Amino acid sequence: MPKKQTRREFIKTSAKTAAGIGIASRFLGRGGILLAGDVKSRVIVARNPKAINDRNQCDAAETASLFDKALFSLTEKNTTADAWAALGLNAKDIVAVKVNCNSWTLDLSPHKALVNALCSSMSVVIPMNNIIIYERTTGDLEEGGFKQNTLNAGVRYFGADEGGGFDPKQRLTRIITDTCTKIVNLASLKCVESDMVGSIFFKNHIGSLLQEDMPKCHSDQDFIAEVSSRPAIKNKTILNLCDGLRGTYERGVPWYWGGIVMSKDPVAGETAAIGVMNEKRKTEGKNPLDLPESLRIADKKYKLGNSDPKRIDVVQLNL
Amino acid sequence: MKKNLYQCPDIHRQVIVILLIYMMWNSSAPCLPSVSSSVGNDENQLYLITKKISENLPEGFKLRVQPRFYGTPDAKLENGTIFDYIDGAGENYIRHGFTSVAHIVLENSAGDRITVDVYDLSSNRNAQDAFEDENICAPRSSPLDPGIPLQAKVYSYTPDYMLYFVENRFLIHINLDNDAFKDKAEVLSAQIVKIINEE
Repeated sequence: MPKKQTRREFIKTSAKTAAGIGIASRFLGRGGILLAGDVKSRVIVARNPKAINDRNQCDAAETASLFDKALFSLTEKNTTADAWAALGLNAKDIVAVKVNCNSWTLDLSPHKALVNALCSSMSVVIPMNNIIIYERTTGDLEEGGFKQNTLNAGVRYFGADEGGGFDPKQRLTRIITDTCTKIVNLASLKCVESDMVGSIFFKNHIGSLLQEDMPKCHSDQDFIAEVSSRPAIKNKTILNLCDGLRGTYERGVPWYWGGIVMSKDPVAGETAAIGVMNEKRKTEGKNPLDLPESLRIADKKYKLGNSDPKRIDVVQLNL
Repeated sequence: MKKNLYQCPDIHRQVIVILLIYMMWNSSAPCLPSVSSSVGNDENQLYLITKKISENLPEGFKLRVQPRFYGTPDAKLENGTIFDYIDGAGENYIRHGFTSVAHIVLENSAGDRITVDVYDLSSNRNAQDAFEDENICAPRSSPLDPGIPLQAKVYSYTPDYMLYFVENRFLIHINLDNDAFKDKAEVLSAQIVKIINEE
């Protein structure tokens, strides 16, 4: 039979719990999925016009500099090792990086220079071979310009179709349920102007799903949010990075914004990315995009982060 | 006595079939699928058009990968449905009588790409409606180059160059990632018109 708590013990336990929450909030920082009360989510909106030219060609060094400065600002650390440690990466981790290689009408696949900057940065902590860049299929990845590599050397590149199948319970690729220990969500700044508004962090995981579940992402806003609440994604994601070196602010029209959006909180990150699109839309005389319902559901129902701009701390970096 | 495949024990037959599939899968040279007897006449026509396009490529370009074919949720093709190719935006095409699309990617030795999508929209009327639909062909098209001998919508977003046009019941989309080759798109569009009319 459980022991009944005295009033003194109850007060003592409550005080410890409250102190614990306070410490946890402090150490989790502003951002991240585990949010408490009025803790703000930190989002870095960083630009470096020298990182890309108007022919969609990146400058590797400038792109790496952009990435590094954003990472340091997000984590409020001064070294790469400390920054990744603050995000929870350790030497034994295997990191799966979900990219979006969508080539329909306009190629908005992630830029190799940014992928290389991310991998190079993580390689300070983990071997390159512990990094898996994946997409829905190896074919999609190759169409996005990334050559398949399943060898024991270098960064690995392959699709969920070659990822060892799907976890029957979470209905997600085993790359993220079994193989990896951490996830980086690398999306593109893509405006689709429908109910979805943008195809950014939440939509990116369509490629992690069982094929028969993918169509649910097209019309079911709750489903899109729910996917990211599944344990493998919710518990393993350490970073959300949006490639806006070239993105779109209206459907199908490329825009060399020359920036990235970075956050631990996918909801706040996507909210800020839509804000970036809206700034451009304003200058072009177009109506602003509303936040998609999926973001509000991700915030209110699944507690995946903050969609309220008042609870988002946006840090602008201009290199 | 020599046995043929049908006289082998089940397990041997399965191994042989798996080996054959594996060999086909690993073939490095991109090749077109044979026209399946299980597909309808419309799909057959799309396969034949794709085959001819693939045999008449612009100079310096070759197939980057095997062409892909996507159908509807009710009638999937080899690579699945249109939603496997373009996600939710596939609804825009379904609304206009979409039945199938062939996705062809060409590449030259420098890595420049030309992508050709041939959408079968069941009728010329549907294809024209899709052409006028701003969810498919964005409103801000550029003026036509005098070199394009057809009614097309052109989008010039340096370095990308895109054009859409309708022929018969097909909506064709050509996308270049390097506008230095836009003359190739013009030659290719004329070629596609000819091929469709021959079929």
